[in-house]
Amino acid sequence: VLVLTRQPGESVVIGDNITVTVISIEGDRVKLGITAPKEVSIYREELYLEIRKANEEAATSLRADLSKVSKMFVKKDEE
Amino acid sequence: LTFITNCQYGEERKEFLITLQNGLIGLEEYTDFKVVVDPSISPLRLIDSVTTPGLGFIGVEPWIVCPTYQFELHDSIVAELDIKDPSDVWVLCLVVIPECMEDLTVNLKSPLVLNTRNGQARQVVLVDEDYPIRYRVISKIKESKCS
Repeated sequence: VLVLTRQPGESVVIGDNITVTVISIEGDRVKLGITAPKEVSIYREELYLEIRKANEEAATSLRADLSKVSKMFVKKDEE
Repeated sequence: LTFITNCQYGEERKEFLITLQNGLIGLEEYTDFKVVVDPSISPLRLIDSVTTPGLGFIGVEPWIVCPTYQFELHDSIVAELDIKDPSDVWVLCLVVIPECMEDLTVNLKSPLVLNTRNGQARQVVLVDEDYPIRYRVISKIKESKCS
């Protein structure tokens, strides 16, 4: 892990086209500004971890009663 | 590109080969899948790895569980998947089917977006829309075997 010390207003550059700027520090909260190409996905790590966990659980979905399960997805207007 | 579509593939058994260039989040090494449309389990779809037997997912079109579902597909995704026409887009959300059916959830936060014309697909994360990763759909189940 690369550790850098930055002050508000200062940035780090990652690769050719990603810049992370420390905008402000208030107590234990750091506000970051990130400039990156549109195709780069940026989101909080918690979200990434939650989606990963959900994906892993989806891979273990039980298939025993799929025809029965499918009937639970009947659209409301068909009920 | 904003769209509200619901592909109707429920009539006959079909298989679509898809390529998830980046895999699924956390499962990046698996990229090649087939989506199986099987009327006997419709509206559920099987999303099975074609390289790893036993690895598979269940998908469902989000509008089945959330009729107002809508999101904006970023231009970068449109370009990446080479989407020319919104009607080519097929959206599937992954279903978690646990032992207790009441806990069945659908991931509305990070749907799979598929281009049915070329089979290119990606799991997108809807950061601008407020949809849950675990959307509980079975509040209407009558019988409950949960302890």
